[in-house]
Amino acid sequence: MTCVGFEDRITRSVGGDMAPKEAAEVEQHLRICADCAELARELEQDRAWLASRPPETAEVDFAAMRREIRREIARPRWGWKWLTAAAAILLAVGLVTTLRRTPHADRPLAVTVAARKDTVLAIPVPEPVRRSVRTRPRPKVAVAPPQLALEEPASSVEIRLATNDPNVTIILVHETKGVMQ
Amino acid sequence: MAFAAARMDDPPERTAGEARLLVLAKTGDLDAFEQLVALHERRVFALALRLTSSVEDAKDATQETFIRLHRKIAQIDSARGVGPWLYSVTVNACRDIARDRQRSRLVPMENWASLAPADPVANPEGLYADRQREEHLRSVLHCLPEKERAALLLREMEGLSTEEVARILGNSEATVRSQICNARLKLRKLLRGKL
Repeated sequence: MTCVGFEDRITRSVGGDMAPKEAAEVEQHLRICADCAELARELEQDRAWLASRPPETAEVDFAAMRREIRREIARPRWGWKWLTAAAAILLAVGLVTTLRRTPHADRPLAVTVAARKDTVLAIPVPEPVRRSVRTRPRPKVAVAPPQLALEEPASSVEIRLATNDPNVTIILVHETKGVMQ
Repeated sequence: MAFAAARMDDPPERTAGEARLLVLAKTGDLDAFEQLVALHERRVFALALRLTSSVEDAKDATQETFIRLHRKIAQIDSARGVGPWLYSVTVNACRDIARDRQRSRLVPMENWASLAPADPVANPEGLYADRQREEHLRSVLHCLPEKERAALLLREMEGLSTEEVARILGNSEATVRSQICNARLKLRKLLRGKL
């Protein structure tokens, strides 16, 4: 058991990281305290042992390592500046391409809402700001009309449900083709 | 295996040749750079091995350290030499490798077996005892937190001053002093089986 407050001071004094005045105080304490003196002795022993250890090594082929280093430093490097510039160019090209391909970018949009059977509300959308990017003229492509064979419409049952609102009728249409009547 | 028994930042008389190599390496002379690497590679590797406890990680850290040296060689002060710079970069390279791999820091047994003390004695009993001591030291050092281990290794095993260690680790002297004190106390307990 070392004295309170002395453990840290003794540890520092072992490495010589202490002002001479404080070191003298520690030295004086070590003369009268056996536990602290034991701590100081052990720390000094460890320190001397560590300092005496030779640098350890392993079976490493240092010549091969040097060749590898030489190969590595001879390889052309892409610095951060070049990588940043390349990324910026790619981003710009990507942005321009995306803008050019945006469909109907300059056409006004309209949202239609069917409120009643015979009423269509057209909500105009403001003209979009024209971009300076020119749209590429689209090449004309001849498209063959689809060859679709339409099936006979299936017979159906219509159920009309009246609601509280005279303007609203719910119509359920149920296909009966293939169903036993 | 012969070892340069000197520190990476040895006094000028030893590093006169190094200064000449450094000047040549700065001009792009790859042979001079390779000689510079050969001067420090064992020390760098030994420090990396103690910091990482893995032969493969230590090799990677050593290689990375010298690649970074080549990139920054123009900025290195010829008067101070590459020593302090190498310590700092070795510690950082070991940290980066540990962070990248995020794996257990225990070294596989086959790697431990291939490790040998730097200056093995001819006597096999002595060699065995030396190996045992090294293995014990390695396992004990690895129980310390990374920053405390780095500070202790540089201070006690590389013989640097607290001020130099602080500069290398990029910490204040007070922080490094505290890290070293903690590491010493933990090491004492670990070596005597009190932890």
